[in-house]
Amino acid sequence: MAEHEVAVHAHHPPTGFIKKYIFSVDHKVIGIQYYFLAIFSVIIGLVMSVLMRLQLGWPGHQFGFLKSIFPIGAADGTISPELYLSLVTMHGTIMVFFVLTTAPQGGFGNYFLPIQIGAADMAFPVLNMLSFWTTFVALLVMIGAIFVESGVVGPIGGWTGYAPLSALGEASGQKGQTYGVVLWIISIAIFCIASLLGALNFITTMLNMRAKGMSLMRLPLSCWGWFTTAVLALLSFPVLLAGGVLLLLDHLAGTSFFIPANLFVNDKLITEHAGGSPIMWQHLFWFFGHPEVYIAILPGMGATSHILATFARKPIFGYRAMVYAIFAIGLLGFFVWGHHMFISGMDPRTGMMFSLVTLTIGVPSAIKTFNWLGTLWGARIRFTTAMLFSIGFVSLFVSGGVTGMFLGQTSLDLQLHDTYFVVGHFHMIMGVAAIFGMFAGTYYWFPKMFGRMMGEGIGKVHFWLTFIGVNAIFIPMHIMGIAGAPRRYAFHWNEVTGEGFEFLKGIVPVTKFVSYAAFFTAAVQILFFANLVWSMYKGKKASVNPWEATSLEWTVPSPPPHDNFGGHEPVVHHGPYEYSVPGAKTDFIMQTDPAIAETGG
Amino acid sequence: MGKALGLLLWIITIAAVAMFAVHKWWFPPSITEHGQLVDNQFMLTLVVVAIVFVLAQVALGFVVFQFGSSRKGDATYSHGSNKLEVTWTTITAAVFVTLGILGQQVWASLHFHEAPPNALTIEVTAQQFAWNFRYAGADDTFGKLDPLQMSDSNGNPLGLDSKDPAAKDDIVTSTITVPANRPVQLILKSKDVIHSFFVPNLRFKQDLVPGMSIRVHFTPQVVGHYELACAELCGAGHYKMKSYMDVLSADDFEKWLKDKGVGK
Amino acid sequence: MLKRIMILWMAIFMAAFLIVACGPKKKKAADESDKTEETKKPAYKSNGDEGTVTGKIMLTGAAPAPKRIDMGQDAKCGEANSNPQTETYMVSDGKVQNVFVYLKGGPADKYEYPVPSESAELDQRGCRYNPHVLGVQAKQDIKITNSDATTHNIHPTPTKNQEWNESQAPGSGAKDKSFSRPETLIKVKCNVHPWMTAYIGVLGHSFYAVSGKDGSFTIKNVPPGDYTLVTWHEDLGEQTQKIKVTAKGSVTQDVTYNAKTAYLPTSMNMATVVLP
Repeated sequence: MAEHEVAVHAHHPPTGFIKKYIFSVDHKVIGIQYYFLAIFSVIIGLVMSVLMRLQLGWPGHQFGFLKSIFPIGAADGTISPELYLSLVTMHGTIMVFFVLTTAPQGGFGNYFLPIQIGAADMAFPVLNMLSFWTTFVALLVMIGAIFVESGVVGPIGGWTGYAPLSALGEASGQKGQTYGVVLWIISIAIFCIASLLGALNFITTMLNMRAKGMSLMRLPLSCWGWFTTAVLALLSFPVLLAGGVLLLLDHLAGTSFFIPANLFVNDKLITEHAGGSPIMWQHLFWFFGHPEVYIAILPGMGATSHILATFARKPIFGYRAMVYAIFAIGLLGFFVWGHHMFISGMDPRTGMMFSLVTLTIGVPSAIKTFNWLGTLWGARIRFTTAMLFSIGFVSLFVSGGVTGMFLGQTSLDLQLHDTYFVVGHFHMIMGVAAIFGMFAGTYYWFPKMFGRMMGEGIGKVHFWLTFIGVNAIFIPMHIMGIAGAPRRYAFHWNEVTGEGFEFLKGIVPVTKFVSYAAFFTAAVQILFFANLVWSMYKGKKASVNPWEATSLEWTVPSPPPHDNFGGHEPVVHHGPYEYSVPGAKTDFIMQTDPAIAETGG
Repeated sequence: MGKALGLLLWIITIAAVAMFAVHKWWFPPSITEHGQLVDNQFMLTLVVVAIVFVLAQVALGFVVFQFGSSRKGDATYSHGSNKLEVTWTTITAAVFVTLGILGQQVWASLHFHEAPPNALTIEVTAQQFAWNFRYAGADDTFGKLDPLQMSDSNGNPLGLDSKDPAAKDDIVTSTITVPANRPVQLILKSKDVIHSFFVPNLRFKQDLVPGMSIRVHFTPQVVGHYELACAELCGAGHYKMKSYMDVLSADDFEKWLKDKGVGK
Repeated sequence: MLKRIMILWMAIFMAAFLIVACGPKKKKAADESDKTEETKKPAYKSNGDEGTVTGKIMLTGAAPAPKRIDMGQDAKCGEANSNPQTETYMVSDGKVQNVFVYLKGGPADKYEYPVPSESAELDQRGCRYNPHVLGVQAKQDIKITNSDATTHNIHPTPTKNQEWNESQAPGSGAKDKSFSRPETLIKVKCNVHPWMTAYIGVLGHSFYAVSGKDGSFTIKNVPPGDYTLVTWHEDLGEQTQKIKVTAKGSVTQDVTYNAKTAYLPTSMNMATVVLP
């Protein structure tokens, strides 16, 4: 490691640390920066979800400790509805943007895409640094949105920020909707710019920087995941950016993109606005919002495929089909945004079109599942923690995916839209499935990133408890949705005050069960964070290729030197998943191994 | 390890299926004709999805149960099979698209036909955080509204124009009352932000969008007192934006109208 | 080295988080200093020669009859209030209740008066605010209670003071609030029960009263001097009269409103509205 860094920075010794570790242009350092930004965000998001479950499980109960944290939002120890909605909004926004979009792509993608394709760095290292720092600024602004108005109550409009509630500002008379929303929009706009810069870099890097012999069909599937994600980000974030700017203009400059005439809000007739369309915001938002789901999960799919093949000791079943399926999901993902809007007042005929395309997305998703099963069939599976999380990913992807068959149908969406069925569905697939992809990636790549092995024993305990926990949280939510429980409610039935909906009295035990499961699962994550920190210092030293894997990142030292391959470009001879090749000396053949001729990859 | 994981996957599968099969927590009873169709489509989808779900999870459980590294023999070396890829792509595409097409029927019946001529028309105006329902009264004409006269505290939340005679006999209520077995047409409007009209028993939901008048219709069939919820986040009081829907028999409904001062 | 990065990063994030989290406190402090910069008036010293102002509010012509309010959306409201009616006009026999009466000018504006230590009370009962019209001195505590079995939401919409909007669950403790600057009058509404309305008059002194059922009002302990007597009704609007209070004197000033010919509702008196 040392000799390469010295070669680069020797003439700037005083600023060496800053250049090396803060404003670094090394894709590996930037990847780690992204990763820790996501870890920080996920802790905040997790704590918020625990508070939400506390309120949902025991509405009206007083929890003394909340008074000191939220002197206004929980003045007497009970979480007020406005604080609850603020938690909902910030949990959603932070998790979607700063965790699900950041860690799998910005973190692992940044670190491993260049190494896996045999490049010394990203195509535009300075742009890479800028995109991280832009993301960092976005996070600071987002945190500011929580605190800017009268303390610890941020915007309350949900992560979708539907206009005109989000556009009216002070006129809406809702706490958190004045400066809180402004900062929220600005943060998202900054984030859009960061993602755009990152996406450009990823696409260019993968197309232009591949090592000799690394043909497109020899790329590990993780690269295809990151590449498709980058394409989706490049095409969808500009739309959100534009939408955000328009919303900001409505909010601050008196334009009327999303605000119609003659609104009567908060006992006042709004005369400054006329002619806008609230539905237009939804179109712009969901044109981004649906691809965003795939932005969150495609890197997980790629990493999972990569890890499944490694520990199954088998080539990926149907490599080409997998690549085409990722493309198909990405492409179709742009034509289904309307399924979020069946009941929005949009023309019902377009709903039919969106519904059919939505169900078609099930086809490439099913292909991926079949191929994962095909990969595992006849394998000799090594049950490492990374493998366990990858198998968990497949299971959660199935569980979360199949319920999309209900929500994608216009007539069933009539009943299920905006209920807990939706909450269960998207948490299962874009929440925990994607998170499982990140866990798998962490356990798998940690040795390469930090030069030490992660604790496998504690990791396995972490897997078992988390896997049981997330199923216990999110499967019952579907049932609550069927019973008719609307989402974003501070409570459905409040036993203390006897308020709420009579027809939802029956689901109180389910709600409590989900809350217990959530506390349990959240507590289990302490194991992960502890393991992460412990392994960084005390973990067993990692060898170059501890998993006996084939791709290029396992040909370089752990951690890799500054320019990855020590100045000489690797030459690739094989496809990425040459495991258990009959007649070979070992059960894996490195991509760079010239000894054995063409094997079919 | 593999055996345990296989078993866990099967247990989770059984638990999930059981949860959906026992119907302990299930839809509130449907009170409309299209509601029955929605429920049928839901059950059809549930069966198809359950088969897909169980097959996939059981197969996943099986492979991890069966193909651990402690087993005898080598891992098979295979890059896949195009025949298999084509087979399963075709099957899933056929199943999913059929399901999608079947799922359009109820939607079409609700949205692609005008309300029948004998329908009772009710104007629904949502606001933060309450519902207003307006009946045209004896003259069957909705009177003019004047936003300048809107006042909740003064008992005129919709701003019925005191100068318009057609507005005199309009009835404005905060709960909705409808007759059974007669089509009801709603004209959905919003004063301020987006709300959503959701009566779980109706199997029906529609957003109320400011600046738009959205017409929908349905026919309630079962007399009863049902809860109405707002299903689109509309502000801090969203969770409390509740009202009721009373379905009365035709006679009772006439009586109710009479009590409201509309004699026919 | 990577460990150092990690520690550094977590430290930066935590520091950033704390810095942002502590931001609003600074803002609040700035608010306070802003207030103290207002021109200091001399404190009022009592000579024991204060007088009294009394009178009656009357209406000529017919007041609009109260309308029934449909509280069907919340069964808890109906339980506590069987015949809810609009409170805009509380008129019996030509005497007008709920008119806010206060003094302006003269000694009322010249001196600084001590803030009463007892708090004013605003209760929510039967999905109504009780009282409907409330007077307080700036910075005086207002104790807000919820006697209903349903959650209320208290949302004053001032223009010179800080706007706020908070929920109050049944059985939860009283909220102590105050307004820091004089403002007549602040409309208060409950977002979840839109018909619920109250008005709070905030003054720099305590020379105010709210007319009772018989239309009468009494303002006591008024320092001698020349004043403008302001009467305010939520629909009939404001009227002013010049009065003179002599040492230990008693002034009686009746005020008569004329009923409106064209009846316009309350909210529109609050702001001039131009339709596009």
